[in-house]
Amino acid sequence: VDKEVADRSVLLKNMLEDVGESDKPIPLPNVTGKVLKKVITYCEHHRNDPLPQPDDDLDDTKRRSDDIDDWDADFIKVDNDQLFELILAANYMDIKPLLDLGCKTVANMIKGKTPEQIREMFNIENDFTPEEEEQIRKENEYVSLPLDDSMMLGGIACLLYYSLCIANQSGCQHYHRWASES
Amino acid sequence: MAPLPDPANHPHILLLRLPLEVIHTIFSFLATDSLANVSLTCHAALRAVAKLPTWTRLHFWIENVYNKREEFASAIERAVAVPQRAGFCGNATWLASHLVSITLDRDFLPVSLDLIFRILDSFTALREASFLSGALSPALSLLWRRREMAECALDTAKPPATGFAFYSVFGRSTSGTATETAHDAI
Repeated sequence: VDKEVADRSVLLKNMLEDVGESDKPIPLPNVTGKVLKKVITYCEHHRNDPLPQPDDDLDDTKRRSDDIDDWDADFIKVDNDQLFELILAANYMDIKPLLDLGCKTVANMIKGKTPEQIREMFNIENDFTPEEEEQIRKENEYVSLPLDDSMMLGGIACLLYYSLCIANQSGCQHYHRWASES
Repeated sequence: MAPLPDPANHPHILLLRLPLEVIHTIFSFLATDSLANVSLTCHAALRAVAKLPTWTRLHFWIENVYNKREEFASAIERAVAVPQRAGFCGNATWLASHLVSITLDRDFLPVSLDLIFRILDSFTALREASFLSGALSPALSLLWRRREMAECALDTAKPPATGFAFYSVFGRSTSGTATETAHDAI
């Protein structure tokens, strides 16, 4: 494997820096040959991509999972077993773009599914007691209120104001300023 | 003790066996309604959702995978329950005090006003609780009292005072007067 390809893995990059110029093989005990072959395919395809920066995840915007390009989407079309093995390998070898690709794929499998469908998809056993189930059911009870159009406008205004308050983390000051001005 | 299932025969069981940081990376791509659904599957998932560190910059948002307004409204209903359920793990007030935005898909707006009020109720009551003592029980207590008030409003056909409640909450400081504030709000 070219060094340029191996460098996509932070683990390998650090190990190569430690051992220097050498022909000795580097052991990867936690990755099977089949998965490693798949990982190398990914790294070869993305060998020229810019390396991710450490602070890429620090922004406050929500993280998108629908931005997978066609090659990646085709690459990650594997069964659940291999998908999780790829995720584990990416995590172990510290290949963040591949880890994100695997995690986005799992996230996309979860989106829009009911709890029962998620349990079925990932073979999760429901270990909630009947009492806990009842508690959850109560929490999800829904109270309908008599409403008219003016209340609708008021509610939307409240929602907007509330969002501003919490976004600024100093809502009371803004409210007082707004209230005193008006 | 029962032997652990062979991963080769049960590949999908691996989701909750992944390292927690990997599970959290997966969850970081999910909106509030999906997190609510995941947390309803089992205790381990509930704990994993409650420990999600990205909630320190929580955004209340709903997936854009729904085709009908009713599905979207239903997703909001489930999502609103997340902070209360997270409270079971002791993170409710922490979560409420770190909430930074509420985002709803404008393609589906306006959703019914009672849903909007319910969103406000959930997060406002949790904030009130953090003013009071930082404990969970006041939050749940307030939520239940709010619900009783709403049911009372149904009987008397009077509009609930929920919208005014959060103004009074944010109009006060976090000092000892907050207790009065919470009671005034109700």
